Amino acid sequence: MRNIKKILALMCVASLGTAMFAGCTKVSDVPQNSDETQAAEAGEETATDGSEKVLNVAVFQGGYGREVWDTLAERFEEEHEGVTVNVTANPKLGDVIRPQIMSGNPPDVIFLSATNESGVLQSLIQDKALECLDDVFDDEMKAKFVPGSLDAPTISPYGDGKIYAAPLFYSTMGLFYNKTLFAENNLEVPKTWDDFFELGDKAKEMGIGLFTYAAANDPSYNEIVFNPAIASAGGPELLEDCFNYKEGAWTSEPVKKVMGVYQKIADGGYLLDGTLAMTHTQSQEQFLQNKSLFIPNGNWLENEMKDTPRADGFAYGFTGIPVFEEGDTPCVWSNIEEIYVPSAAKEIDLAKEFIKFLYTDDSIMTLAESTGAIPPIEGAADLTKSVLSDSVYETYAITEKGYTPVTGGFAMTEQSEISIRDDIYNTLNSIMAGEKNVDEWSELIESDSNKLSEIVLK
Amino acid sequence: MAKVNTKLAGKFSKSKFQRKLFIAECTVPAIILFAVFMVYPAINVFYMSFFKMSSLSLEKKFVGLDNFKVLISDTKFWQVFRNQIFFIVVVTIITIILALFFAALLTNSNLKEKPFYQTVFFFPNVLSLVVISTLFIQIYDPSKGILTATCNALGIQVAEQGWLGMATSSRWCIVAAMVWQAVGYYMVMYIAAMDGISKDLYEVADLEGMSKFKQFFAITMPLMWEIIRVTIVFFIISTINMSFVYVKIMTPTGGPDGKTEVFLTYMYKQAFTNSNFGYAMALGVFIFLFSFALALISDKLTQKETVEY
Repeated sequence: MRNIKKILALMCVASLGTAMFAGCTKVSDVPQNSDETQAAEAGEETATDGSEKVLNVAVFQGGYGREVWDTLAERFEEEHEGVTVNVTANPKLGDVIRPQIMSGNPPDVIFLSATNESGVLQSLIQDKALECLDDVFDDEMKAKFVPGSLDAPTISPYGDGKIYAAPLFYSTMGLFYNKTLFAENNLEVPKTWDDFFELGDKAKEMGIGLFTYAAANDPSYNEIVFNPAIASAGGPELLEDCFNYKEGAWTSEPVKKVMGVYQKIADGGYLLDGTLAMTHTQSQEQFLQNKSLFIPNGNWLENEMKDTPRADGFAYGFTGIPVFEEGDTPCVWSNIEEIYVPSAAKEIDLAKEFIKFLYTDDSIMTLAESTGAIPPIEGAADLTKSVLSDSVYETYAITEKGYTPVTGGFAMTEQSEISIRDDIYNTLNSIMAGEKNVDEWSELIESDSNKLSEIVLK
Repeated sequence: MAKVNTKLAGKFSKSKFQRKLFIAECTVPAIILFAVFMVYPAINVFYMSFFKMSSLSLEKKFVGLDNFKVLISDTKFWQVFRNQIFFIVVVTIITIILALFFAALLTNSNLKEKPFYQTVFFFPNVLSLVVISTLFIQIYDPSKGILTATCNALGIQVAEQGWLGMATSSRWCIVAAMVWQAVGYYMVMYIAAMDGISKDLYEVADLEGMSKFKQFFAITMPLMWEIIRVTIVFFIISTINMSFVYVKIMTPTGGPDGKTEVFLTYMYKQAFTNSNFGYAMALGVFIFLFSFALALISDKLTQKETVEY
């Protein structure tokens, strides 16, 4: 009997012990692809004699997939003798690399945009742990970029003009509609908000909604409408003031007017029924079924929904944001996805070399072909026109229809309990649910903004 | 004689020592694991709550009790607090009532299908919480969900913005999922407790002409009171823990007007999305103390003289 107890106890101890060590495997050690792992191992072995180098690239595996990075890595290896590129791709990349960064062993290159919920880029900026990329962005390089794209607060976070993250992709976002549905019902793409709500009344007659969005999991899709509408109603300076927490910006008349648009959508019953409980995929499904005239979205929509059933003859149409008065500058939102190098990386020079390599024409073509996204470089859309799908090209060509692209983001601050983006877009949900009104909304954001203005990073 | 005594004593103490050694051998690894993975992190939470730092904690700044001051003045946190209390109270009450009801029904009846019902009720516990949440999302789906479809078929026009999308219904939707999952587990516990009560007592009560209903409150409840007390502590802890998964999956933004945000989802948001790790740790400290206090209070309040037979 005693022996049995002993054996049992030993087994318990042993199993606990193994459980303890089982937890120690690093996520990065798990082979993603056997060839690669072998290559990486080979690289590590020979790295000691100085001729071989290993570049660790960590990429977010979202709508763009992983293959394109493998292709690019291979090409980079061919061009740089003795270099092995090790790609880690994961949909939960933030969770994978956070422990690596904390232990002082970060990947050399990270592609995980600031809008990702992991907040890795924000943390790196706050901790001043990013490598300055001014070597990559010399004057010649800077001249190639679309004006304004290098001034975004995540690209140049400390207000000194130095670049700490590279804008790898840029896209314009706006309102998608179904061209066929519009043609069949003699509907016209709206120029002003009045046109927009007229369409809403027609939609009601048709028994469908005017507008839907990803209320349940990401109401911040509405920045696609909200920000350019502010820029159009109050000028780009006002949007800038809003982003920089200037006093009174959020209670100004134009901002309230934009908030009023949402109030009108809610009060007038223009919102597609059930929207508040829909995730982005659900709302997009409804849109494809002609249940709603418009949905705010980006150029990844077509690719993301390629396997989803849709109404007969569905054809993607894309337009910018309506204006309040004819004669206002129509605007469209553009977004940047960042790629960056942590200052604790081992192969900093090689990492910079890799980022430069991503901006070569060949790489731009490869990226555009498989992701449909292009960098904010002048002429990139025309360069890649042959490989972009129509709906994607249309989003880039919107600027030629007289829409001005606006971009930006909230100035980075020290740690704070306030998440102003959450407050804006979660309150937008509350407006739609009839729980709050425009005054409460703008006052809440103004008070957030006042608090944040005191702790802006310098 | 003396010689024999010392010899015996020596043998005795040796075996006693061996016994102690064996106990130590067995417990030390567990204590080490407990210390490394439970005690150390818990102490660390307290320590880190005094700092201002990001989720990467590459740069720390000591701020003393500032994080706690922020916590007290954070209106959003108090909304979260109210939500959490709502969940704890409502889920506990509904689950206890249902679990006791089903347990009493299954113990007192002579149903042939008793094991079958027990399995069916317990089944949700085998499912992962993620699966349950996804399942309920499908039920509540505004366009094709069974709940909406049933209401429409009956001609009741409700919840046009979706069950999970309305401030009034979203919390109850999550409560329903939590209760559905928990009832079986507590029912099995209560059945075990009820089976332990001697049948004689009921026989006597029957002879005395006491109704089944009265028997439940006069015999069953007092005799299983200790078990109910224990489960109340379980309810408090598990509601705080599990509501995180339900809320994170069913209403990722914290629900309409922040109506479903709970402690842990708020803490998670602050720690990772909002990159405010120090504050999140202060929240952690608060949650720790709160659940501890609540468990103690409920224990004191439910203290009665133990009835045994």
